[in-house]
Amino acid sequence: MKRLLNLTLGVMTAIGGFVDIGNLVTSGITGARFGMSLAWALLLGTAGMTLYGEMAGRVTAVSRRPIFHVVRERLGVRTAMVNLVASLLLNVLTLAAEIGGVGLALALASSINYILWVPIIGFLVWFFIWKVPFAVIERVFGLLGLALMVFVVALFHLHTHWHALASGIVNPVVPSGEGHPTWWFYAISLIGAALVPYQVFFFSSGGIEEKWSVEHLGEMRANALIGFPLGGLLSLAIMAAAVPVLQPRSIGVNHLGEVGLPVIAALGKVGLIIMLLGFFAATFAAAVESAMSSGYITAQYLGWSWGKQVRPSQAPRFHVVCLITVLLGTAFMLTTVDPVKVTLVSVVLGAAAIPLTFFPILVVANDRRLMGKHANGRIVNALGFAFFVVIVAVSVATLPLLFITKAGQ
Amino acid sequence: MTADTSGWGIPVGYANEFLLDREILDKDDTPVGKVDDLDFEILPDGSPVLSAILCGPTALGPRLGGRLGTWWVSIARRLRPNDDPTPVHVGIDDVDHVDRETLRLRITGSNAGTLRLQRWVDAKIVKRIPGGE
Amino acid sequence: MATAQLMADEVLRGRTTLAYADTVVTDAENDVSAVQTAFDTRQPPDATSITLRDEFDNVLQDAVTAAQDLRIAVRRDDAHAIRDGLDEAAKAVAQLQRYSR
Repeated sequence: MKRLLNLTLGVMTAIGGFVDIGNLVTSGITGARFGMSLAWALLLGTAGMTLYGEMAGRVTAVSRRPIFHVVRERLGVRTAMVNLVASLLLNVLTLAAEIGGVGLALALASSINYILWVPIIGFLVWFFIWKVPFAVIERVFGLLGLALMVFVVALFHLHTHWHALASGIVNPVVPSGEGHPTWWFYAISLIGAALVPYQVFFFSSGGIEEKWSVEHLGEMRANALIGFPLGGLLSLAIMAAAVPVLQPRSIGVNHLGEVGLPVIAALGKVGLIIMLLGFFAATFAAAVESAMSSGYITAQYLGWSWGKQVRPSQAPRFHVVCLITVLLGTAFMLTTVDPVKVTLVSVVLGAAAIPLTFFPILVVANDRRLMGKHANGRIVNALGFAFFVVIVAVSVATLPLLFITKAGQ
Repeated sequence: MTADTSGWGIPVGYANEFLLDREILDKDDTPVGKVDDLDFEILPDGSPVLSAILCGPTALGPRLGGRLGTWWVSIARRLRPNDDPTPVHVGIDDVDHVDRETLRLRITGSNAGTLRLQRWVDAKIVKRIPGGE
Repeated sequence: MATAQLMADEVLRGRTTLAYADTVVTDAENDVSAVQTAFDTRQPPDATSITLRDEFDNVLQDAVTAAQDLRIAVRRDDAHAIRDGLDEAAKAVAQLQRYSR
C-alpha cells in the first residue's frame, strides 16, 4: 500500500514537474495563432522525452551512476566535454527564462513589475538549492504544478469545439494567412520545449539522490511512462484552451498574462488563483532544477562530490557551480530582455542542441557490458533511432528557420 | 568481476577500457575524482603493468588533446602556481577494490591528495556563506 | 489591443483580480505604444505617403489613448470608465481595420 502511494506520488510529481515556462509560452502562442494544427509537434516532443527519459532513468538505475558519469566513461572525454559545455550554456539560458517566468507569474499576482522580482527569485532559487532538502523541492513543487490542471477544467467550461480540436490534432493544416516557415518554426519550438536537456539530467541525478537500483526500475518507468505523457497532455490543454478564447479574437500571446486569459474566461477568480499557483510552482521548480542540473553535470564530469544528500561543505564545488549559474541567469534577466523572447530562444536553441544530449543516452542505453539484460530492446531501439533521425532533422532546420522567420514573426 | 591488488598484471588495452574515466571513491565512499589517466611501469620482461592512477586537470588535459587540452592544463597550472605541475598519483597499492560499479581506495581522499580544490572552495567560499558547514 | 479589451471585459464581469488585469492591460498599452513608436520612425517615401502616414498616425494615437484610458480605468476599478474605455477602444479598432484594407 505504501509502495502504491509512493508510486502515485512519484507519477504526480513527474506530471507537475514536466511543465515549465517553455511549455507555457509555446503552448499558449501556438494555440492562439495556429489552433490545434501544431498539436502533433507537442505530442511528438512529449513522446521523445518519454522515450529518452526512460532510457536515461534505466541507465541510471542499472549502472547506479548518473547519466553524465556514464557518458564520460563510455563515450570518452572529448565527446562528453562538448556535451558538457553545450548543456551548461543552454542551462544558463533556460534558467534565465525560468527566472523570468517566475517573475512574470509574480507580476500577474501582485502587479509589481517582474524586474523587481528577479533578484529576489534568484536569491530564492539559490537558497532552495543550498538549504531545502531534495525531496521537498521535488515533491512540493511537483504536486503544486498539478494546479495547472485548471486548464483542463477550463476546457470543459469554454465553448470548446471538441470535434474541431480532435481534427486539428489528427489533421494538421497550416491556417490561412500564416506562412509555412513560421509554422515549422513554432513546431520546432514545441519540440524543444518538451525535450529540455536539464530535465533528463535532473531525472537521472535525482534518481541517484534517491538511491535508485534495479529494484526501482518499475517506479522509474511509471514516472517516465505515465508522468511525462500526462505532463504533455497538460501542455496540450493549455494549447487547446487558447483556441476558443484567443484565436477568434486574434489575440497573440506576447506575455504570460495572455496564456491565462482562457482560464479567467472560463473559471473566474478561483481559476485565476489556482492557475497562478501552478505558474509559480512550475517555473520556480524548473529554475531550481536547471541550476542544479548545471552543478550535477559539471561535478559528474569532473568526478567531484555532488548532490544534496551531503552537507554543502562536503560538496562545495557542486554548490559553487549552482551559485554561479544562478548569478549568471539572474544577471541576464536584469538586462531587461523580454522574458517571453528569452523563453522562445532558449527552447529553439535547445531544439538545435538536442541530438548532442540524446545521442549519448541512446548509445549507453545500448551498451550491453553496462546494462546487461536491461539494454535497449529492439522496439525501443527502433523507436529511439527513428526519433533520433527526427531530432537531427529538427536540429538542422532550426537556425535557418530562426533567421528566415526572424524568430517567429 | 573484481580484482584484488596483488598481481595487477592488467593488459594495457583492458585497463584503458575498464578503468579510464571511472569514478574513484575513497575509503569512506566519498567521490574523490575520476581516473583521468593511467600510469604504467615496464616490467623486466618488457610488458607494461599498471602502476598508478592519475587524477586531476593536468592528467585530463593531455587526454582532451589539441588546443583545448593545452589550455586546460595551463589553467590548472595557473591555479596552483607553487605546486608541482604533475598530476595526483594514486599508487596501485592504494586501490582496495575494483568492479563494474565502483573503484574504491584504501585511503581517504585527503591522503590521496585529490581534494585540494574541494578543500579550497570549501574554506574560501562555502564556509563563508551562512549555513555552509 | 484585443487583449486589453478582453481583460477589461473580464474586470467588468468581476472575474479577475485587479493585479492580473493591471499587468495585462499595462503590457497591452505598452505594446500599442511600441507599435506607434516603430511606425513614427519610418520615413515615408513621398508626399501622398506623408498625408497617409499622418492620418494613420492619428488613428494609432487614438488606439494608444484608448489603451491608456483602459489601463487607468482598470487600475481604478471604475466600471463606468472601463465601459467608456471599451467604447473608445472599439472605435479605434474599427478605424485601424479600415486602414488595413
